[in-house]
Amino acid sequence: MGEFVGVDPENLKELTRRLEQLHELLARHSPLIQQKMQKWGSEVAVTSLPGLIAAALDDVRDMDARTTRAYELARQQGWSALGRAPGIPGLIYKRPPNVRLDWEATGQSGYQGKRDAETLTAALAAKDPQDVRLALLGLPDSLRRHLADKDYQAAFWAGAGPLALRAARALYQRAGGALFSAESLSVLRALGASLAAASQMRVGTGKDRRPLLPAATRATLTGSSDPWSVGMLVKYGPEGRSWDSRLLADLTRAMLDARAAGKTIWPPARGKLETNVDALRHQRLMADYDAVGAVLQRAAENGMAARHVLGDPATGLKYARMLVSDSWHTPGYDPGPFLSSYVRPGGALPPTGQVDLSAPTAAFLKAAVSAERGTSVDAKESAWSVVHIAQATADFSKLHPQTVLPREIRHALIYTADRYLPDFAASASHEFTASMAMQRGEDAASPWAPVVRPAELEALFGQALQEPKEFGAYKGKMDGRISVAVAATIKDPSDQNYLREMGGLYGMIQRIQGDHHFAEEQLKDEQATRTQTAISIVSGGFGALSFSNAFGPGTITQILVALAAPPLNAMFDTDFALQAYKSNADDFRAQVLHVEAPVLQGLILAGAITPPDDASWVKNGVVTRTAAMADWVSRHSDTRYLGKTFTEWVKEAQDAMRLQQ
Amino acid sequence: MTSSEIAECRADMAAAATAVREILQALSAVPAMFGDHTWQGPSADRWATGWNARRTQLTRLFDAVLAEQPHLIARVEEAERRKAAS
Repeated sequence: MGEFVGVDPENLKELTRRLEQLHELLARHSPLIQQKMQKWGSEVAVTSLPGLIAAALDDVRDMDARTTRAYELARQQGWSALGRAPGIPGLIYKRPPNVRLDWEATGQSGYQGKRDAETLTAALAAKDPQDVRLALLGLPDSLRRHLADKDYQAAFWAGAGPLALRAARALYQRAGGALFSAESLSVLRALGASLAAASQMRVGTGKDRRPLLPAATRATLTGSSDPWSVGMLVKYGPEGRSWDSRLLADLTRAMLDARAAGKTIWPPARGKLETNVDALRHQRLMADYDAVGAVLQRAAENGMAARHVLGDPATGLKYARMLVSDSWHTPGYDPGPFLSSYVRPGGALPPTGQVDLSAPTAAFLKAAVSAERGTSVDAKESAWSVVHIAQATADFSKLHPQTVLPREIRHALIYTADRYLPDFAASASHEFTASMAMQRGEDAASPWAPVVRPAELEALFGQALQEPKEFGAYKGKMDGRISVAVAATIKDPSDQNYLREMGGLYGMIQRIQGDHHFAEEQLKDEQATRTQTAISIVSGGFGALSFSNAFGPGTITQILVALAAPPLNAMFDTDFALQAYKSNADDFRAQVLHVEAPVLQGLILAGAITPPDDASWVKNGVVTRTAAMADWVSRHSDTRYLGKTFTEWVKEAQDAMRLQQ
Repeated sequence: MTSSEIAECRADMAAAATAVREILQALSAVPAMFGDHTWQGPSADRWATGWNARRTQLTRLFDAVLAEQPHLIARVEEAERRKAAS
């Protein structure tokens, strides 16, 4: 206990206000002053300024805590702001009396955190949302002021944890257009920001280093009986990278478990749904305040959080099965009660008015497979995520053989197949008996790679690729990789034949496409898309291999990265290509389906061919299709390069690409 | 250097000076709340001593900024004169 000091609460409050004003000006103006002065060569040393600004903020926090305590003590002594005075009609403002407080103890921000937690507790006990909002008016400022303050954060979340998580339910408006008022949103945003900041804080050093939020508090967060309210804190909290990845992963698991268990994950219904319009509006409200989607979105933005969830060998498959599903929409409603009795059939009608919610799910799936390739734990989780997504897709197809996954989810599968193209090519060409993430040869220097059983891989492609253009784009990406496959086959220190493996994957995709029995016109579209995608990749310079450290530890990772096609995006304007193809089909085909150029490019990449200095068909190592190139190729068709003639290399590439001569 | 650069330098110095003066004004408003009318006790007095030390540091730093400004403007003007003479 420190020394007690007599204080005048009103003057202490004014002192706090002036300190706050000083800090606000220092924080706002200092960068401007520094920038303007340094621009003209100022030599004034400003290194002490950041420390002085931080100290000014501490002054504000400390004095604010003392002021809060001073007013509290005054109230305990019977003071009330409004009272009566002899001879004066009506109520007048009364100054609080002087009080004595422990200057040191109440000046610590932990005290303020505790007090704010108590304020929140008292406020949320009110039944009327308007009362709750009024009681919490000052909270957002206090939370924001203490975002980087460990003492405050520890005290606040220890005291407020369970209640703060239910804030959304206490604050939502029972009527009107918007679910939350501007003041309520301010509270939710501040609570979300505070929780995110606290989640990233660590205390202790060395072996004692641990999260600031103790396990019990984290358990409260993830075990909340009101997942919807928790989801709203995450929705209105900061972007995903501002959160601790482990906490976001735990929250994601908790939300998915709650959804699977049928717990309340939707916003509360406001009044009886009298008409069809009311019912539709409520579905829209559910979509706008989708708690599970909010958490999935933040985890996707974080990246690592998604990989923690799906990349866990023990539980990742369970959650992948929940995500790879056609259930990502609002529940819909029974239209029966809103139909005229003349047209209403007997029995329950199928639900209608469902709103698609698969976008955050798809973003989450993509993030789960997006770690940088290599030997890191993150790369391992990413590889396991790929395995679990493939397994979950196979399980879904087995359970629902006639159901196609939503478009967004299918595109996440295509993204996965793009990113792990060489791994899938290897999996398609080997009869693996179990799917897993592994390092080739169990060598710790090898990058983590997913190995997927062919049956599961086939199920993944069977769901992912549905339309002719999707088949064409994927095959085009493989075509665009032929140069790299030639080079990689030569450069890989093992005897791995990437061309042959690509051939295996082409075969699998061709079989799946055959099952669709596309019409001739559709096949033309498929071919055009394939061509355009291949051109975009080759001419875009993607997947360049430098082999600066050939045969070194990074070689395989480099090969895997180069062989993985860039994800399909607006860069590949396939519709435009389709027009070009249809207008001049023969020229287009002749340009692209010549395998000689990519094979020649691959052999140059691998160093097997060194073009002559005066060769006009190669510039900066990039081959261009010209008559001179064709002439050079015809003169060297029987020349052997690393054990095969040029013609044999071309034949192998054509076999791999399933091309007709 | 051109005359437009001199004008730009002057404008930057004016903006920085305005910001500095606002801070110095806020700084000088705080100590008025120190003393017996707000608190009575040595702990609070010690806090005020610490705060005054930080105030001195800030005042010195911002005074130095204001004092340097005429020199920076003069340097730009001198460069302009030399350029015009050459």
